[in-house]
Amino acid sequence: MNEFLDGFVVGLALLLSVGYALLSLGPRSLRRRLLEALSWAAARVPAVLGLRAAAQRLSIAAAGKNQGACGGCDDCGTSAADATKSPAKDSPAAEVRVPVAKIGRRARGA
Amino acid sequence: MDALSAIPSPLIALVGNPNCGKTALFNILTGSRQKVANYAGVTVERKEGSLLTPSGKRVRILDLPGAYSLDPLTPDEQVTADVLLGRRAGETRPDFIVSVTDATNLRQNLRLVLSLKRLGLPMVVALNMTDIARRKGIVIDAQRLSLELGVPVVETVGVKTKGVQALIKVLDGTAAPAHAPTPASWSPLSGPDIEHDQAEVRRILGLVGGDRIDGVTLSDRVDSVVLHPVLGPVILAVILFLVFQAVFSWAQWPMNEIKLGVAAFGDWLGAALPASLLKGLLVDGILAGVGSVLVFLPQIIILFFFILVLEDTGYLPRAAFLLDRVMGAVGLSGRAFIPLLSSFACAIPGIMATRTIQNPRDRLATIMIAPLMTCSARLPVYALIIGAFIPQRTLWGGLQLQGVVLFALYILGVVGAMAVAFVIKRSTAGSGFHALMLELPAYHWPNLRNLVLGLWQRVEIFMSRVGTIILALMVILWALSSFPAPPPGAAGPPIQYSIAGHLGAWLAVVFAPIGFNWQISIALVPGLAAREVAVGALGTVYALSATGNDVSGALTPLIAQSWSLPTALSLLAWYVFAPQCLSTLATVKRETNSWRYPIIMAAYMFGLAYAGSWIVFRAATALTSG
Repeated sequence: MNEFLDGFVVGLALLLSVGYALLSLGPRSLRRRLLEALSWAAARVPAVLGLRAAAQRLSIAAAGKNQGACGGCDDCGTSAADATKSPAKDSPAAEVRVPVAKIGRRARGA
Repeated sequence: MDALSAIPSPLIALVGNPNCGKTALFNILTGSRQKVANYAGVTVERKEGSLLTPSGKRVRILDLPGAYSLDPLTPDEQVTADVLLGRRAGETRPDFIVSVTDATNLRQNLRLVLSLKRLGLPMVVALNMTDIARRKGIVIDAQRLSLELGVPVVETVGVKTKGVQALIKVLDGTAAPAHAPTPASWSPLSGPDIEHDQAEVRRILGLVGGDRIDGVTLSDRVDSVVLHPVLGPVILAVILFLVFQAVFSWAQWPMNEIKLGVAAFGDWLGAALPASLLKGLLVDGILAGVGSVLVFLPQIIILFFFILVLEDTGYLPRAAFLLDRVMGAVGLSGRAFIPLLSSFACAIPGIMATRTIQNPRDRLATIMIAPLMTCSARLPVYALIIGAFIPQRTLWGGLQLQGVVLFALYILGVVGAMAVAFVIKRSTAGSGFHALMLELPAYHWPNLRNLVLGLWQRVEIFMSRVGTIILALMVILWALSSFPAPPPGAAGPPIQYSIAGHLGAWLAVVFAPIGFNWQISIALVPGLAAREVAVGALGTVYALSATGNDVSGALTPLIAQSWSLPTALSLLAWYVFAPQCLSTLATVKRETNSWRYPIIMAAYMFGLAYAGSWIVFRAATALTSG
């Protein structure tokens, strides 16, 4: 095989791999910046190459959530639910006091 | 999704009690494949999809976590309340509510329907699971119910396409309002309000029927055995034990076929390509690495087959009930069981599922121990080492020794998690005991569609990991292991002179006390991204470590020759405890809204892994040398 072509293909594979690893494992801000930069670059190439749609998709992806390296079961949700706080704290319904005498009343009546 | 939100289409929210079939309905309406199971608390986050109605109108549909009321007690109920009240940042308030009610449990479900009516949004009641209700002899007068509630009522069967036609007709008639609904004011229900609703529910039930109290049902009869204080835990242990036996014994044939396929492809590729960098990348980097992981697909499918069957039958909440006493002994509530069980698939949905836990301390403790449950990503590592070092011996009763060892590793993870939970709960002030309140759904046969879709989803997830992050990391590792080239006249394998070789040599100093060689030390680094990456990394590292023509040899015999038994056992202990998953730590950061907890988690898990491996290595060395 042509030595130049050999090196080029391997180099490209390595570059793509590093990029993907950074996108999926790196912090969200880095991912957003990378995708924005790619979108910016794709939007500026000559229209004949037909990359406008790709630029738009990259821009949408930059604004969206990270699928993550877990494989993307989409269970991760979109926002944090702070584990150090409980919604029940502020709610008067947090503690429901049922008089013992009332428990089972319906069952007896049924 | 973003393109959809630009279209002015009505936003419809599916709301209802937990486990009333909202997600099954959502999947049928939108063609989605969100997870459904026969227990409460599967959905903990809002999900969005779209439906094209027969008249060509597109409507957006929101699937919300189950809630018992609009006064939230848990973080998942908070999501539902916030969306319905228009308090959720960046989210418009729904235009229309589909109040999904379980026709077999109308007494409980109607209370939420009455609360939803107070929101003043247009609404339809979907009387779901009407097929099961009919089989149980429960007859509900839907027309009368509609009259009493003052909203349309349609009967649905959320698991069948034909069962939702009436609902689709109603949704077809909805329209996006001219003005988006504004946030609603909501004050928690007072005592008299609750009593009024209760009386109203009783009155409506008296008119429409559907309040039949069954005698002893089949589920009750099964529960009298399955929930027996002595028989119950024995049955649970036997079920889990058989699952792990099946993982090894059933997977043998397909695993061998995949191994042969990968080896044959490797031989063909090696012969077809001339000696070049690209050949090295394809054969030693990608095929040796990715092929080593791919082999474990059958075991993952078998494990998930059993998990999905147990989920769909309704057995899992019973297991939570049985383990409540064990959980209570270490300070956790039985409610932590479902998140911990989800963590056997993957710690990330498990950590998300802790949103169903009311007490913040319990929730934090559950989050902190969830990664100790043996996730499916550990399975390839365990299976590789067990396959190499544990003989395929059959014990009494036809039990396989390899399956017994795998079961023991799962138990070790659970015991470790319970010990850590005990320490966490002991060291946090104000920890108290919280009684378990859990709905036990009726048993039913697993739905074949759910089962097939669930398994297909797991295959997709596994293959997507193999084809993306594992592939990418293998290419990077191959490059780090191949460059720089060895100096002229070098005698050892080229990898020893590479960047990865030098890194491995440094790391080996740290890991030598626990018996790890430089090849294992290298594999642990990319394995930080995800556990099964380590198997691929070992494949690549050993392929590049080989001198001569044995490069294409399978990984299992290679490590069986290169490692001692104490080293293998030490690595198993490492993988039981080590936090080898960046995604999990990121999820903990997001769920706790702080870096503190993921840092504490990583520190304690690495500490535990090192200590555990050291003890195992020293003990095994002493025993085998004696």
